[in-house]
Amino acid sequence: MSRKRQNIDPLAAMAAANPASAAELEAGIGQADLDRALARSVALGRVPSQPVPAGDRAALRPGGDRRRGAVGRGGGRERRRRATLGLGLAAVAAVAALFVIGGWPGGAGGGRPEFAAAAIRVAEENPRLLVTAPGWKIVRADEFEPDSGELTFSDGGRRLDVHWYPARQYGQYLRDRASVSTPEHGVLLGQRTTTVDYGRGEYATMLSPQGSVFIEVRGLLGGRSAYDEILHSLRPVDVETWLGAMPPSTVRPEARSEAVDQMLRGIPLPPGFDAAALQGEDSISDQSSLAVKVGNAVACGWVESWIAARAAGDQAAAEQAVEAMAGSADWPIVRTAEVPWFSNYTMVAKQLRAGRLDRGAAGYVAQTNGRTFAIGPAWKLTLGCEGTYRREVGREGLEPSTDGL
Amino acid sequence: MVGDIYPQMPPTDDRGRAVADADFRFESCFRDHYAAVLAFAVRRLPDRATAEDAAAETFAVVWQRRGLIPAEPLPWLYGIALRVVANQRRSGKRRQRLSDRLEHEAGARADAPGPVDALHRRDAFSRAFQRLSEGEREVLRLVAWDGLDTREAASVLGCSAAAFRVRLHRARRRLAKHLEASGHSPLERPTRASDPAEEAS
Repeated sequence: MSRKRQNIDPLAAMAAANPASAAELEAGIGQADLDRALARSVALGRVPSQPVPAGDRAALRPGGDRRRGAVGRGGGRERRRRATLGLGLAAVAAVAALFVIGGWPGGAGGGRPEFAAAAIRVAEENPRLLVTAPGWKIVRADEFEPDSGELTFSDGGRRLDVHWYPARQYGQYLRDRASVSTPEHGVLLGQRTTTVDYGRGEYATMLSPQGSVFIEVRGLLGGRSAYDEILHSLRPVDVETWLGAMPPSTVRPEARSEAVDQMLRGIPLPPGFDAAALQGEDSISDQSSLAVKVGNAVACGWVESWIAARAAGDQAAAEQAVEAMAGSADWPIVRTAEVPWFSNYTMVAKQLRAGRLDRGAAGYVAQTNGRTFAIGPAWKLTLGCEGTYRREVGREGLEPSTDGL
Repeated sequence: MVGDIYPQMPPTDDRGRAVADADFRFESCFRDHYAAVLAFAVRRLPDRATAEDAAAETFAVVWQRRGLIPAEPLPWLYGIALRVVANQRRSGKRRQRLSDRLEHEAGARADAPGPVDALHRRDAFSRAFQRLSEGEREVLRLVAWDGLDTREAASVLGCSAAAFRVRLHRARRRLAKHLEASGHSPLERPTRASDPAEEAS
């Protein structure tokens, strides 16, 4: 940009016209105001059909990402759209092709599908409800387990989410939802239902527990009658039908091993890295969730390797970990998947380079009963590693935030 | 406040711990950046109440993505907020125009020596600013009002840093031209340190 002096500096004029200072706003927001705003956002976010401004392809990028091609898709409240996690559409299509195998209903293979035993085990534990209203299908299946998970159904415009949770949490959920509106009771598929009204045409219905789980359905479908119509089109189906209804972007258990292999290609693996542990899990995954899980496992392994090397005085091994993490921005899954989470790897890589890994608490959570918990260590939270802690601390029990080892 | 806001606070098994970590990550992000996101919305919407709605919706999206909040989330948050604001503008329910707001605020903050000068500067700036395309205005807002550097602003808009620099250069040039044409009072160029986009480019 030209450095030639101008008589009028437009950015200075802009700055003079700035309508709001974050610092001034912050000073004017009391703790109670902030708590109310936090509770409001959580309440909005917990409504599954909360409209997501699906410009996520750009919004989900980490700062400084140089990739191109993001398209803000817009979409107002009326459209009630829920964005997919992380991956851009092109990436989804490309990766999905890796996981779709012949033999899916309607797929290239045509015939009867053959599902892995692991997939069948997941399905057998599941209520396996499908929306049977014309035009509706599953558009999203996030990572889930036999006793917890979530499917999103859509007819191309409207959406309905079906969650399942452990039966032991049913009472807890009932109490929570009772605070939303006065519950209405009914019967669906032989189960007692409890429906609450979130307002603005948004409803949620819980079915009484069935085996080890209970179902909760939520949606904003244009009014109560429309909601009831789709709700009452839910039908239990057999294992093959249920698995066959999963969208192609889903990584099924039988495809998981190959998917993990694909995601690990081009990534330097830390000593002792156990890919089999990732490959052997039974759960059905959303692709972006699996990509993050794979990336986290590698990054966590490298940091643990670095810690061990430093403790043992093995400078070469420590340097190897530093270099591996420094190159994380070039790992294929990081370059391909537009997931801002991956920028965390760069942050930790800088800490390793500086020899100052943040091993203190990431922060503190104060509960209204006066108890305060430290959560950490920061580096594990940053990378999504296992082994994080939540420790109760005194009001002044702050921990050091950085440990240079 | 975690135990009160998230009544489904899970048990202490591995899955529950992962969810708890995400809840904590969300709350930290919220408390650290709510004011910045609210300010971002206030700068683009006609009134405080609408901006608070936009901030709430932005963090509702973040809540749904709370397991994937990056360690340095502000550009990511602004990217979400930008699209929430766009939805708000498209809703058709807000009749007050941003230009009205801008004129009012510019007049109140122009640091002019007297009310006559302030009015003059406000009107001149507003006229010049409104002659830009929305895309040009947004490029300038991200840098001059939100304080982002080139790479951060580019990530908000989903373009490359190089492309953003070109767009910023053009927007600055056009705004300067319109300011001159509208009789805006000359301003001294600030030091380079107060020009984050150029510092980073």
